[in-house]
Amino acid sequence: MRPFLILIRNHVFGLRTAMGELREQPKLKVAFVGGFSLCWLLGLSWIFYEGFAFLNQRGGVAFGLVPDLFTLFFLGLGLMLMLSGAVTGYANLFQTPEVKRLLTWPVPTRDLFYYALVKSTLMSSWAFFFIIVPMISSYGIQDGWGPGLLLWSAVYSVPYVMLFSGLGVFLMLLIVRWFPRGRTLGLIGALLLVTLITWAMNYVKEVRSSQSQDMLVLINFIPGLRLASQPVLPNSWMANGILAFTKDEMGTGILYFLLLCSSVGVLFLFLAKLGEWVYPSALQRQITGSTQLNARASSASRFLQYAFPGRASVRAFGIKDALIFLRDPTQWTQFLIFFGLLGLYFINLGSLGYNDLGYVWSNLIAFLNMFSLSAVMSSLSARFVFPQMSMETRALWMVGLAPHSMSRLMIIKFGLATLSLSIVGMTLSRLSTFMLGVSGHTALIGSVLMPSMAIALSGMSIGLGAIFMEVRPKTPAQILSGYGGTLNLILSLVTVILLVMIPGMVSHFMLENRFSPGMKEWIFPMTLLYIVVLSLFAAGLPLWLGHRSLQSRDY
Amino acid sequence: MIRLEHLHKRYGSLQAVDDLNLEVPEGELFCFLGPNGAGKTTSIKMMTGLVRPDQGTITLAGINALEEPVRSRSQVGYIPDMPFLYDRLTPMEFLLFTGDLYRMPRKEVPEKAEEMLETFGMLERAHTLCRDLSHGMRQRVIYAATLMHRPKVMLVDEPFIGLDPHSIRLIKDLLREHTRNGMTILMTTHILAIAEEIGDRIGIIDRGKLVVCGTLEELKAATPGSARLEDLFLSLTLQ
Repeated sequence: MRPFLILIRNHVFGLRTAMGELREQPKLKVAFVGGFSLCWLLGLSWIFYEGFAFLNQRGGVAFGLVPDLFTLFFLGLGLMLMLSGAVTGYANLFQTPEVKRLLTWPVPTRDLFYYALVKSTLMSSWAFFFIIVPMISSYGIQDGWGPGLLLWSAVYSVPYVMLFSGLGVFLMLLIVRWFPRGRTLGLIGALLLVTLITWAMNYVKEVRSSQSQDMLVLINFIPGLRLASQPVLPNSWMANGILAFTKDEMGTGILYFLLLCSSVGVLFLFLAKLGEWVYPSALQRQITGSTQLNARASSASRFLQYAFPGRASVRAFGIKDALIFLRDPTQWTQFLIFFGLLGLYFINLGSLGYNDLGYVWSNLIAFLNMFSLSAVMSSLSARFVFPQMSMETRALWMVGLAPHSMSRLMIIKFGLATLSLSIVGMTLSRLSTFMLGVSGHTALIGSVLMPSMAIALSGMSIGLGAIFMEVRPKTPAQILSGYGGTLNLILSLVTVILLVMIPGMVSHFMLENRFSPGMKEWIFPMTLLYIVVLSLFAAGLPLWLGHRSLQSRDY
Repeated sequence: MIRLEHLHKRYGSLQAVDDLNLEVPEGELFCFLGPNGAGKTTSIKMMTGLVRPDQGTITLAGINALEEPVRSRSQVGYIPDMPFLYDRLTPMEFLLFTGDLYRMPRKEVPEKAEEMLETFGMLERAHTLCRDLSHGMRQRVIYAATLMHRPKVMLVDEPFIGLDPHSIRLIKDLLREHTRNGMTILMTTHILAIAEEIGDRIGIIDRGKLVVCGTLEELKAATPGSARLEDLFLSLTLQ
């Protein structure tokens, strides 16, 4: 048997074992993840359904936009798959301990490359279940089609996922092998950033100047719609192929499907050859690449050493955590993607005309935005803040022996996490309320809510992280998947809902004049007090319990 | 100096340390020997404050480590057998982190860090990420970081694992030099030849109890028929 097939068989065994281990997972965790996935699928299906229903009600031109929206949807999905393929491909080809071990075994590099390619494609296929299924099901129900449409789409998704994931691996391979490093990389990055900002500014200007209420010019409002509709792009084949089913044009549908399949075949043949040729040298470049930081590259380090304020121990952890964050792409890319997407959306609120909807609607959108922002803050604090206390136990020989208590370390970590989340949360919240032109009351609630949210989420994650501290060396993923990590995620989500929903309702009722003038006088300060008290409680209790746990434990 | 009095520690049904009494005077290099699981690392962890004893007192550099743990820790340096370094920091950044952590004067830290890296022959690698350093180089960074704040007591757990002869020599010379300058060092090792070579006194612990303690000559005199430390060690711990 070829080494490639042996590796695949071994991977299948591993997956089977992992499925078996599901039974040993905490029930709370399984129930939470299962429930969350179900809610996600149902929630997204409902949103898509309402969207298609809206277009259906408008009829005519509005419903005629569906093919364009499909092409845009699949373009976005394709780009996400490409990014996912590049990231998972990089991890599978260059980073995992498995690759390092296999390199010492008699496995040809070619087989190793094929194996990593297949794994990356499989790992990128999540998009089908969590995004395509709700979209296609909703469209099918709205348009009166049965489960056949979903099955048809599932068949289409296989070559589509392979195509974009393969493209991601292709681009990643070129970057790893030939992309310049150091100063040139910085220069190229800066140029790209300037170009992107210039393009975004021009784009917003262009859209603002062509604003109209006519549905026909929707094409001008939605970024990338014109590009997505190009018939030479695979997303167009995917959209038209699926829609051919709803028009009873099976021949056209099969033609598009075969077009996708043949493209995948060509790409994978090309990738196989490229992998044989490029992968070994790219691998050598990765293994032997120097990480000697030159003076320019370590300028961030020197700047932080010079400028970071605070007492010595706060500086120590602040600088250390900032440097590790900046040098770990898995950390900063997640922040950049989530907060960057929200930022782009908030900047474009004016272009979408949401600021012209009146105070009541603007207020609702502002609170929905605060909820989205808080939900992202909650997931990032659960992912990055919760494991921090456990991760520091690896360096107990130094950190644990320093002349301060572990509780002080916990407070420092809490302070740093709160500060980081507050800065991002307040900036984006202010951007959202500014673009929406909301009332002063709503803006003030936002200004109090975001730092309070940062306090609540950081306090909860750090406090629970201290209570459920893992002293034995574990990866962040292992720490997160335990009971403490799951509990933290649930409690964070509950806190987000309680902190945003009540003030949101109060603010909405105030704008609808549902309160008497006497009531209005005290209900607003009470709302602010509610936010502060709840956030202090949500942070304070876990921190206090964490402090007690740290004092009484052995390391 | 180090003084341990009636130290006890139990993990469930296992008596890890049983009535340990030990005194190491200032400027002495004490070698703490014992088979695996004898209680060496637990004893060291109790001295560092990472593990709390069930009973007994610990005095380090004249400070009661159980009553004043923070003040005591400022006088202690600890090097475990498998120390962790932050992979995405450079040795220079790690030393600056250590300096801040031990509240050293801000202006003094960069200069001291550079001096320590030079002492350990790591100046050329000062700006290389720790993940790309060899085991020996990482060990040198760890010694440099531990000695940055000039501790009066140093606890070293298995300092010579995986080191090349140059690094072993460097560390042996360093330990000797620091004891001459008044530092008290308690070191565990399984390399008996090194204990013979550099230890001022040797203690052997087995099943949580200190079985024997003294200079090499005293131990040999007390155990007739044991010409070498190895024979002595085996005869005392092979039951």
